[in-house]
Amino acid sequence: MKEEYPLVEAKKLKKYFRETSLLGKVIKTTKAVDDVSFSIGRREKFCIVGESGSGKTTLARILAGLLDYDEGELFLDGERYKDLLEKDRKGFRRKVQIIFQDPYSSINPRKSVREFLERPLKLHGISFSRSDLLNILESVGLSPAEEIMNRMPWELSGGQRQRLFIARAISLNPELLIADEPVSMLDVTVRAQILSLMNRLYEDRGMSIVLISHDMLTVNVFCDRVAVMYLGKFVEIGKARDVYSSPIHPYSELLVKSTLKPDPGIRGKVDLPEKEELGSIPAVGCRFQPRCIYSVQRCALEEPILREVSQGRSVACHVKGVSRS
Amino acid sequence: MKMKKRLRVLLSPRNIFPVSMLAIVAVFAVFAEFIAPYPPLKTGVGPILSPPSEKHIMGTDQVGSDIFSQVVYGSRTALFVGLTSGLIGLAIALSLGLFAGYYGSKLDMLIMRTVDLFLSIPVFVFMIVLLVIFGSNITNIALILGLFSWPLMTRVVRSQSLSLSEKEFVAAARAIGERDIGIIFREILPNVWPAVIPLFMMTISGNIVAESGLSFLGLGDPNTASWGRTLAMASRAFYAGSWWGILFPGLVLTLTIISLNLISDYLVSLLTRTEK
Amino acid sequence: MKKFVTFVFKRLLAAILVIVAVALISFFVINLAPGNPAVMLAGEAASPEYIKEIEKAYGFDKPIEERLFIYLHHLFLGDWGYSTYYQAPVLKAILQRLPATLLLMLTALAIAIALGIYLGAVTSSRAFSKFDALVNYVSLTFYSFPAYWLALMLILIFSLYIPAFPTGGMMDIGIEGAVQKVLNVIWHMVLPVTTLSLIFMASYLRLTRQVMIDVLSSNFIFTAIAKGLPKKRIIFKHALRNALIPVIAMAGTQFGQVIAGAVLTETIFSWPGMGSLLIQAVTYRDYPLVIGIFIMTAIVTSLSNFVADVLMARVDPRIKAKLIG
Repeated sequence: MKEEYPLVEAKKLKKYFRETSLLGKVIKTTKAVDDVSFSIGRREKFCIVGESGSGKTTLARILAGLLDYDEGELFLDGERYKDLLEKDRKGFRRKVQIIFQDPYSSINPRKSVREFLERPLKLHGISFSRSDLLNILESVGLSPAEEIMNRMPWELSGGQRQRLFIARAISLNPELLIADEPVSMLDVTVRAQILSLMNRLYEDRGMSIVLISHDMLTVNVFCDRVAVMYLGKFVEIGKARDVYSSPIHPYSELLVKSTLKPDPGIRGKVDLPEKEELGSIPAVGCRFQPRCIYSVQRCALEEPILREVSQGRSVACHVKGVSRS
Repeated sequence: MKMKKRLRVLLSPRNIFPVSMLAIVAVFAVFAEFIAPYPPLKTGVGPILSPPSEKHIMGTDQVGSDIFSQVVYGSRTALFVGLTSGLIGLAIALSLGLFAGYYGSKLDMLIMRTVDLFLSIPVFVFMIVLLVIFGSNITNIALILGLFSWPLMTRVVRSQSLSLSEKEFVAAARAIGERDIGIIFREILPNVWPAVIPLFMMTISGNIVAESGLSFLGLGDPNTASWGRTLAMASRAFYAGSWWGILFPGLVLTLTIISLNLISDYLVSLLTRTEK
Repeated sequence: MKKFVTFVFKRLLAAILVIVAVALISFFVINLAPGNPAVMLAGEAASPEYIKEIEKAYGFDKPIEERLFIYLHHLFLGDWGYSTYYQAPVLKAILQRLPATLLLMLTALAIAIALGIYLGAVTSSRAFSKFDALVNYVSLTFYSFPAYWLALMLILIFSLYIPAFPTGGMMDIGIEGAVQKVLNVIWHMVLPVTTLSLIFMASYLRLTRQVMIDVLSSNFIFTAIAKGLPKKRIIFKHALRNALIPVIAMAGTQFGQVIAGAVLTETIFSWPGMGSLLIQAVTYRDYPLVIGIFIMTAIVTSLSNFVADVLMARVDPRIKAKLIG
C-alpha cells in the first residue's frame, strides 16, 4: 500500500460531450464535468450531491473507469487512471467497483443469479466454491441463499436485485466502491435497508465509498464528506455534517431546504427558480447566478472559484463564502 | 426441469399441428432412403399419370415416376436449402449486426447502407440472374439464398445490439473487467436471440418457398428431387387431369411453410408477453 | 416548403443511387461470369459476327474502368443490348411488356390494400375475440401460401373442373369492340389477380391490425370515446388514418417482392408481362434481356419506394417532421 497517496486524487478534471452534425461540426457542447479537483482518503465515505443534470453520474462513471476524461488528471493510489487501465486493466477493475442506479437495467435478464455472481470471480481467476457463493449472498442479506442462487433476475424484487448487485461488486474486495444513486429507484421502504447494508459492508471491509445522491438527508446520514455539484462544477466541499447543518453556498442551502419538505417523494426536486439545462451555462459569471436569490452584479460578470473558507471547507461564491470567512 | 417445461410449451394444443408437421418433414428428410418406395427421379417405376393407388399413394407423373418418393426426397432438399441458407444468413447477420450496433460509427453506417441497398433491389430477380449465369445446383441455390438472407436479420440484430449496448448491464460487465468480445457474446448476444429467432424461422420458410419457386421455374437442380420440380412437372400435365401432382407436393410445401410461420408467430407472442 | 423540396430531392437522389448501384452490380456480374463477357452482352444464341461487334462497341480491348464507363454510358442512352430471342432491342422488348405487368400488379395491390386495411380494422376492433383469432389464422395461412401453388390450385378448380375462367393469357383472339376487349381482359385477370391479392392482403391485414390495436389503446382514442363518439366512427375515422401510414410505407417498400411474385404468377397464367418475359429469356439464355429485366425491376422498385416516401410525408405531418427533420 502506498499510504503517502490519497486513494483517489482528481486534478482539474474535465469531460465535455460534443454533439456534432453529420459533417463533424460541433453543434452543442455539454460541460458535464468542468474543472473539478478533489481527493478521497482511505476508508472515507465521500458523497457527491446535486440535481439530475449536474454531471454527478458522469463523474461517477469516470471514477469507475467506464468513461474517459478529456483533460486534467485522475490518480488511483498515485497512478494515472489511463496508465492503469492500459497496463493493469484487471487489477484496476478489482480495486474499483460501481453500483448503478437501476437494478432492473444493471442485471442482464438472461443470466441466473449464480451465473451473474460467478462471472467476475472466473474472469479474475479467483477460485471459489459453492459455499463461497452462498456466503456472499448471505452477507448481503439474500436468503435462503440456496434457493436464490438458482433464480432468474425477474424472480427477484428491486431491493433483492440491488443486494445481488452489491454482492457481486464486493466479491472482488474493491478498495473503492462507487454507488451511483443506489436507492433512488427503489421503494422508499427498502432504501434505508440498502443503505444500512452498505454501511455494514463498509464497517466490515473498510473500503472507500463514493456515494452519488440528490438527497442531502441521505448524504448527511451516510457520508463523512460531501461535494455539492452544480452544472459540472463543485460549488461547495466540506464535512457532511457541517454542510447539512449550515450550508454556505446558496445552492447547498437550496438542497438542504428541499429535504425539509414533508413528502419524501418531492425531496431533491428543488422548486423555483427553474433549473437550467446543462449546456446552457452562462458564458460569463457564476453558473448558479440565474437561479440565485443572493446574486449581486459581480456574479453575472465573474465566475467564482472554489476557495477554502475554513479548515476542510471550500465554497465557490462571491457573496456567501466571503461573509463567512 | 427446464427441459420438461419447454417440451410442454412446445406441445401445447396450439403447437401440436405445426410441431408434428415439421417432425414428419424432418423424418422424411433424414430417412428418405427408407421411407421412399422408389428412387424419386427414376422414370417408369409405374404407369404414366396414374392417380393415387395402393402402389403409388400420391400417383405418378407423365414419365412414370413416383410422386410420393419425390415428395419424401424433396423434403431433404427443402430442409437442406432452408437450413443452410438460413444459417449462412444468420451467421452473416450476427457477425455484422452485433459489431455494427456495439461499435457504431463509420463501420455501422457502411453496413446499414449496404443493408438498405440489398433491401431495395428486387432480390428474387437478381437470384434468377445469378443462377442463370453461374449455373444452378443445390449448393449454389443454398449459397445464393443465404447471401441474400442477411440484410433483414442484420437490421434487427444491429438495432438490438445498439439499444442493448446502452444498457447498464453492459457498463456493469465492463466494470467487472469484461472485454468487448466478452460483452458482445455474453451480455448482448443472449438478449438478441428472442428478436432474431422468429425472423430466422421466417427466413427459412421464405427460402424454402424461394427454392421451390426457382425449381418450379426450371432454375433448380435438374438432378435433385424438389417439391418445386415435381409441381413443375405436374403443371405441364394437369390438362390431362393430373390433380394429384399439384395437390400433394403443394400441400406438403404449404403446410411446412405454415408450420414454420405459426411457430415463429407463436414465439413472437410468447416473447412480447414475457417482456410486459 | 423549402424543406419538403430538399426532402424530395434527397429521396430522389437515394432512388437514383440504388439504380446506379444495380447497374454497377450488373456490370460486375457480367464480367465475373464464367466464359466470355461479350456473350453475356450478346446472348448465347448470338452469331460470332455480332459478338465481335459487341466486343468492339463495349471496348473489350480497354481497361476495366473504361469498360465500366462505356457500359454505363450505353445503359444511360437506353441502349440495353439486342435481344436475340425477341428480335428487338432489349429496352423496347421490356417496355412492351411492362404495362401488362403494371396492370396486373397495381390491380392486385389496390385490392389487397383495400381489403387488408378493411379486415385489419374490423378485426382490431374485436381484438382477441374468436373472430379475430380466426381471421388472424386465415391470414397467416394465406401469408404462408406459395403464390404459385395457389395459382395452380385456382386454375385446377376454377378453369379445369369448373370452367369459369380462362387458364391463361390476357385476351382472346378475335375480340371486336373496345368494351368487349376490356371485359375480356378483366375476365382473364380474375384468377391471377385473386392469387396475388390474397397473398399480398395477408401482410397488410396483419400490419393494419397491429397498428390499429396500438392506436386504439392510445390517449386520443380514449378522448374520442369519452366525447361519446360512436365506436364505428372512432375506428374508421380517427384510428384508421393513423394506421394508413405504415401500410402505405409497407406497400412502397414491398414492391420489389410484388414483382418477384409476378414472375411466377405471370408464368403460370401465361400473362404477357415482364415476369414471363424473364422466364422466356432465361430459357433461351438471352442474357442481355435477363439483365435488362433485372435493371428495369430495380428502377420500378426504387421509383415506387420514392413515391411511397413522398406520399407518406404528404399524408402525415408527424412523419413529415420525422422524415424531413
